[in-house]
Amino acid sequence: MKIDLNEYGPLISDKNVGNKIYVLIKDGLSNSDVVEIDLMHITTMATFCAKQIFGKLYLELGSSKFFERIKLFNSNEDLKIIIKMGIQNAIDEHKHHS
Amino acid sequence: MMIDLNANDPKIEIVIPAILNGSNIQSFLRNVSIIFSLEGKRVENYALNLTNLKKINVLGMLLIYKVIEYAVERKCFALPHIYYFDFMEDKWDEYAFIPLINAYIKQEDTDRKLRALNVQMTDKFILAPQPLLRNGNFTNEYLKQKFLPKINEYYVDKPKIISMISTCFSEILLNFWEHAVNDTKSIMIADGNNNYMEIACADTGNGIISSLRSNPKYSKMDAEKVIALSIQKNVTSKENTYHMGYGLWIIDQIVTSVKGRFHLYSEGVAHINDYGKTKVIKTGFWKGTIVYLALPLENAKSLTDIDAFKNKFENIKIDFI
Repeated sequence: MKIDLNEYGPLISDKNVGNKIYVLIKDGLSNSDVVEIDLMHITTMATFCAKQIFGKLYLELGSSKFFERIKLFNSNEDLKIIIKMGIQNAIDEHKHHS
Repeated sequence: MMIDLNANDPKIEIVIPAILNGSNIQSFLRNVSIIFSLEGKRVENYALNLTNLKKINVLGMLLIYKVIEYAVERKCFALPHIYYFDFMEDKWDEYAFIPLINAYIKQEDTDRKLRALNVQMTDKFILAPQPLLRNGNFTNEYLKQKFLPKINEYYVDKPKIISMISTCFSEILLNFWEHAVNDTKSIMIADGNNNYMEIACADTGNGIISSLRSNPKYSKMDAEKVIALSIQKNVTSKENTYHMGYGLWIIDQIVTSVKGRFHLYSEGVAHINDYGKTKVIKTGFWKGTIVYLALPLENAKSLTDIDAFKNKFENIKIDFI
């Protein structure tokens, strides 16, 4: 299943938008083994949103399933870092509480 | 031209210094701090004297507006005076503050006037004063439809500049939404050209010091310690949420890397990063938070150029295609 996030770009910095995207991907995962997400026109994303979307999904799916089931297309290099920061923070917080 | 809105001689006169920019904000903060103790007092014979002003930037423009806004909305004074010369009026015009200032003088609907403001493109780039609204789509739509397309147009073929500016904007927005209570009172303004960009944001709501102190970890710390911590990674008032406490840290890292300026003022203290050298200072009291960024653009850097981010998080495997 393909999800195009262009309508939410070029800057994702709102928690309501972040929640919409998370729900969109979750719905995609419930209908399809693999979700392909196009980030072509996303310039950047607030770290809050990166954690809200990808950090949460990473914890829910686990690292292997996240890699297998979520494919991120056309991300710029800065956005890759932001997404990884969001995931890392979610992991650190999860470890801290478990 | 000098405007005097009231014929009586003022008893309280707040005099704004000749230069009001990122290098010269201390005396301004000391002079205006009195207004935050006058809420609802309707003090008579007050004057704001802007006649000494000779030089001002986006930060100064925003702070003068916020002082007028606070004094009027919180009913600090009765029939206040405001003195200014053509220099100030020209600057209000240049930065699109005239409708707002007039609205406060004439008690019109400022929210509506804020919404009518646009991005101006002349030889330099100006983002007219912009409310940072958490509820509703206005800020998001404004950024998507007006502001960011203009940034992309002005800095076409300069992806590092676009990336650096967008990252800073993104984190500033989230940070103000996190800490501010009254949405419409957080205002952002910016200008720039091919060599630099300056961004100023201010509110008179719940300051970052009070906000962080709502976290028991920081509740007993003095304000200087709290402001110093606020730009560290993982420091947030809202732990165990999606707030990471990364925003101000990321901005500070970017500014240090490009040798720009990042000032964070709140409730009598400030974190000052000038060209990579940082310090914490005491200032005049400002209710709320002020953020000032000056980004040199000649050697703009994306996150991948900055050591704090480069080659980090390698253990996280993501299928980027």
